[in-house]
Amino acid sequence: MKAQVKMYSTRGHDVLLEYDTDTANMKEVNAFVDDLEKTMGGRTFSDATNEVVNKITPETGDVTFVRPIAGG
Amino acid sequence: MRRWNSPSVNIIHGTMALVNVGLGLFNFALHHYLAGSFGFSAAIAIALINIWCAKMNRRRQQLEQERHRINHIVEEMKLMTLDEQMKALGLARENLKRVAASMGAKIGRDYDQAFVKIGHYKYDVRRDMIYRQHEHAIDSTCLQIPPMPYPERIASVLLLLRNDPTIFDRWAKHDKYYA
Repeated sequence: MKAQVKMYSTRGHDVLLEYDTDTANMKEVNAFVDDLEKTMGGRTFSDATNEVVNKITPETGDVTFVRPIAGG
Repeated sequence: MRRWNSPSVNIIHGTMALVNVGLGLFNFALHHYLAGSFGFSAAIAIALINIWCAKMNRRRQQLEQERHRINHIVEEMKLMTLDEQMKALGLARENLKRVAASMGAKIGRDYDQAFVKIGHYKYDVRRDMIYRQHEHAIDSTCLQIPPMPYPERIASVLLLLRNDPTIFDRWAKHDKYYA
């Protein structure tokens, strides 16, 4: 089954990463998301439960990364 | 545009710092401790200036990237039809719900206000203002975020405050390197 890591956008989510839940290395997927969160200061949410995802597992499914837009 | 920590500036600063360290050592060898300590102080000051320049440069680069992204969003928003704008608003509301739930924030009835407690402060985030309350003192600052669905704007502010609550003070001071 395919799962996606998407970046939230009101103009249509951008797919950042697509992986096969059966064969993908989940460590790499988690490292990718951790790096995103660290560099952009956002959070990742599960599309199924709408809750924050700290660790992605094959059961998590699609996740959406939400990053803040700077302002002041 | 000024480049505070371009490679050539770094080389000049590095050379100056090394010369000062050398002078400091030379003076210490001659038992001229005051002059030697001046040399070391100058070297440390140059190193600190270099670190500060690098930090400013990084923040400036972040700001430029953010401006580019914001301009892109503004252009895209202009091209949206009314139908697409309504769809975007719905999506932004759902997103605000998620973000607020993850932070324990409460959302106003029309999704145009959010209340959150971070540390000792209570924040009241509105469409274009943020209020911060601590005991009986209330501070406020305005928001300048590009035209986008306001729930998205509020969600963005909540995330920014969560990452770094001191950003409120920087906004209030109109620090241009807020990113």
